Amino acid sequence: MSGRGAPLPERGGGQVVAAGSAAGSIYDLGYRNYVGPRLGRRHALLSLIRHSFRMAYGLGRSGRAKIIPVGLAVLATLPAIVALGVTALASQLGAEGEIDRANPVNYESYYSIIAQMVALFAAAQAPELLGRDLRYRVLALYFTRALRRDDYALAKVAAMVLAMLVLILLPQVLILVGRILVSPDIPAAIGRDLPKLLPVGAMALLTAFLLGGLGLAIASFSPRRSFATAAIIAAFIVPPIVVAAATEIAGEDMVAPLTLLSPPGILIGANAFFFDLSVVGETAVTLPLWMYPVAGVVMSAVSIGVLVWRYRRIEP
Amino acid sequence: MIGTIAGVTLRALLARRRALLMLLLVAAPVALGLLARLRGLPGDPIERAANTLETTIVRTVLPLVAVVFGTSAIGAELEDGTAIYLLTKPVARWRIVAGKLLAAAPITALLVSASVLATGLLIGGERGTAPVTLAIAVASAIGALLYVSVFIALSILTSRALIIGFIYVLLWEGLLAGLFEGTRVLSIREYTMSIAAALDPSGVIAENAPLGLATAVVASALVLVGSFLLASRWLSTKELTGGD
Amino acid sequence: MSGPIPGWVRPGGPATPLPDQAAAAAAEAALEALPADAAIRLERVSRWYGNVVAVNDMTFAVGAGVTGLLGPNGAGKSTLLGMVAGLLAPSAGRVTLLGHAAWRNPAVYAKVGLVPEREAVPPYLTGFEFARLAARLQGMPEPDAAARKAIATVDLEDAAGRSIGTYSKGMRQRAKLAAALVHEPPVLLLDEPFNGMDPRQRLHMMALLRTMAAEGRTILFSSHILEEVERLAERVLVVYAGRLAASGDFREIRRLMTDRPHTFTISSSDDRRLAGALMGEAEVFGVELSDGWFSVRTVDYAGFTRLLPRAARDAAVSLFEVQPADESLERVFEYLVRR
Repeated sequence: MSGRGAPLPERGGGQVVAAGSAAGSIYDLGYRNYVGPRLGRRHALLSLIRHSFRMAYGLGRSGRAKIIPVGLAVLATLPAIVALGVTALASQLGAEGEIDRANPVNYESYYSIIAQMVALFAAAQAPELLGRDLRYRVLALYFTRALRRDDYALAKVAAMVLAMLVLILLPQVLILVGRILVSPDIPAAIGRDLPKLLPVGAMALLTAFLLGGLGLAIASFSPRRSFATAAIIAAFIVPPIVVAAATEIAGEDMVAPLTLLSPPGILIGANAFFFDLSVVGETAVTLPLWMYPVAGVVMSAVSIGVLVWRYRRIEP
Repeated sequence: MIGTIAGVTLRALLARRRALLMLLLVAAPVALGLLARLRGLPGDPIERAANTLETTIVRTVLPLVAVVFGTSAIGAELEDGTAIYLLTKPVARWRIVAGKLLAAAPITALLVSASVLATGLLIGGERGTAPVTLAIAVASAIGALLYVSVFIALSILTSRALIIGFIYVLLWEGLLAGLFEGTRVLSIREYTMSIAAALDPSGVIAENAPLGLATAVVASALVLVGSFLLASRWLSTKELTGGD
Repeated sequence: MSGPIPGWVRPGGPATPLPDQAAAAAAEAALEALPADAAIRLERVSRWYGNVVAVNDMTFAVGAGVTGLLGPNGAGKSTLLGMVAGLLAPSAGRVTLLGHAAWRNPAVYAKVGLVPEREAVPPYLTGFEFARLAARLQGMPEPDAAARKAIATVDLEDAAGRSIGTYSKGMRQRAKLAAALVHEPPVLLLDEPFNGMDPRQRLHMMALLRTMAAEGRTILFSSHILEEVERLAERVLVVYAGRLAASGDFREIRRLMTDRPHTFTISSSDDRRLAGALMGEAEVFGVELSDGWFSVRTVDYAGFTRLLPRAARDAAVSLFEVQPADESLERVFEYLVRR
C-alpha cells in the first residue's frame, strides 16, 4: 500500500505483494500473527488433563453423554448411602455396635462390591477419551503444538486416573464422614477411622492406575468405540472365569500364579494386603499377599508403557 | 428378502478381527476342558460338568458373544452410515429385523453350543455327563436367541447399546438378580438355566435354577416377541441423516 | 396438517416470530399454486432440532427434469433432502413423494433412488455385488442383469470386480449411483453428487443425468457450487439459512440476482470530484465519501460499468482501484432472503 493516502477498505483477494519477484509472489492478505505470550508445554499438558477429565464424565456435553459415567458413579455410591442410612437408623435405635460389626459395607469390602462398576466405567470411558481423536484424525493438531506425543498419552492416563479416583473414593469418603457423624464420640471416631485412609487411598490409586491404564492401552488400538469397550470388558471378565474354572478343575495350587495375571484377581489380593485381611473373596489365595500389589504396579506400568509406545508410533 | 439380508449381515459379522476374537472367546472354555482332562479330574463328574459349564459359558461366554454379535448386526451399520442403503429399500422393517436376527442368532448359538458340547465332553466324557451337557447346550442356543434379539432392539434404540448390554449382563444379571429374588424373572440367564434344568434328567442344575419351566418359557416367549416388535417399531421411526 | 413429531425432537419450535398477515397469505397462496401431480411436494415444511431451525416453512414442488438445490453449507440442503427421501420426519408441514407421505413409507423406495452424501459404503463388497444387493433388496426378478446394466451406465465396468474399499472417491460415487439406478426409478435424489469427482467424471455424470431427465424422470440434486447447478439444472431452488430464497428458471434468477443494488468501492486521484460527477448520473443513487476512497451505490450493474470509465475520463480523474463490494454468494443470498 504505497503513497495513496489512507489504506483501502477490507476486501478479499487483496493484491498487495508481501514478498517475491516478477515470476511469483506471496500476497499479504492482512493476516496478523499472534505475538502475545504463549503459555507453553506445562499449561498445554494441564489443559489436556482438565479437558480429558471433563470428557470422562461427559461434562460440557449433552445429557446423554453423562448418563453412563454419572450413572455408574451413582450406582457405585449407592451401597455406601444405603449402609449409612442403615447405620444412622441403628444408632437411633441404640444398636450401632451390632450393626457396625454386621455391616457388609465398609472400607475393606467396598472394592468387591463395586468391582464390576469400576471396570464398566473404564470400559465405557477409556474409548471416549481416546476414540474421538483417533477417529477424526486430529492427533496431528495435538502433536504439532507444545505437547509431545508422550505428554498426550500421559495426560490421558492422568485424566483417567483422576476420573476413576472420583468414582472409587466418593463412596469411601461418604462412609468415613457418615461413620464419624453417626458415632457418639466424634474425636475418637476420627482417630479410629483416619488411619484407614492410608489403605483406602493406596487401594484406590492402585485400582485407578491398573484399570485405567489397562483400559486406555486397549482403547488406543481401535478408534471404534464398541470394539474397544468389548475388548476391555473381556480383559476384565474373562481371566477370573478362567481362574475359577481352572480352580474347579485343576485345583488351587496350579492356579494360584494365574491370579497374578488377572486384573480383578490382583485387585482382590491387593485389597487383602492393604487392609490386612485373612479371608479373601471366592478365590482362595495361597500366594504371599504382597505379590498382589506388586503385580498390580507391574501391570499398570506395562499398560501405560504400551499406551506411550502406541502413541509414539501412531500415524496421526 | 429376509435371506438376502441375513446373508449380507452374516458376511459383515464374520469380518476378520471380530470373528477371530469371538472364536478365541468360545475356545477358552474348551482349552480349559482339555487342560482338566489331561490333569485328571477329581470329584463328581456330573456336578463338576454342570458347574463349570454354567459358570464359564452360560454366565460369561454366552452373553459376551451375544452382545458383540447382537449389537454389531445392525449397530455397526447404523454407526458408520451404511445402514442407509438397507433402509431406503421397499422392504418392511420387520423383515429387516428378521434378517438380522436370522444372521446373528444362529452364529451365536452355534459357537456357544459347540463350546458347551466340546467342553462338556472333555471334562465329563464317558461318565454319564452327556445329558447335562446336552441340556445346557440346547438351553444356551435358546438363550443366544433371546440375548441377540434383545441386543438388536437395543442397538436400534441407542448407539451405546454395547456398554448398556454389558451393564445389563454384569450388574443386572450378575449382582442384582443374585441379591433380589424377585428380579430373577427378568434375567435371561435365569431363563436359560431353568430351561436347562427342565431338560436335564439328573436334577443337578435345578439346584441353581429357581424359576419353573413354565415361567421360563413364557417369559422367554414374551422377551423374544417383545424385542422383535419393539425393534421393528423403532427401526421404522429411526431418523437417519444422509449427510454428515 | 402437521407431520408426526419423531421421538428425539422436542416440540420446541422456531425462535423466529410467527409470520404476519401478509406473509401468511403469501404462504397460503404458494400452497395453492403447487401442481397437484408433481413428484415431490413440500407443503409448509419446517424442521427444527430443539431451538435450531434447519428448515423454515418451505413450500415448493419438483416435477420432471433436473432441479438443483443450491445453497451455502449449513443452509439446510441435507436436512431438506433427508425429509424428501423419507429419512427424517418434518417437524411441521407435509412432505409428499409420488403422492404419498415420504416418512415411514418404505414402499415408496421402489420408485426412488437415493445417492447420499456420506462416503460410507460397505467396503467388503465389490462394486458389482453392491449394485446387485440393491437390486435384490428392490425385489427385482433379475438382479444380476440389472446390476450389470447399472454398472455399465455409470461406466464402472473395469472396477466392478474389485471391492469398494479399494475405490477412489469418484469411483465410490459412481458405485452409489449404480446402486441407486438399478431399479430404474422415476425419482432420483442426489446429495452433493459431484463431490470428489474430477472434471471428466463430472461431465459424464451430468450427461447421464440430463439423459435420464429427458426420459421424464424427476431428478433433484443439491450443491453449493453455483457453476455445477448452472450447468446442469433446468430449475433451481435457492436455500439460505433454512428458507427458500428463490425458485424457478435459473437464468431468471441470475438476472434477478444481478439486478439488485450494488456497491462499488473506488479510489481515484480526485475522489470528491468523481463522486460529484457520478452523483449526477441516473444509474447512481448514492455516494459516500471516506478517507482515501468512496463508495457508490447503483442498481444497474452493467450500465454502471459502462458509465464509470466515461465519467472518469470526462472529469479528468484517474482510477486507481474499483472493487465491487458485495459479490459473495452469502451477500446475494442475504439480499434475496430480505426481499
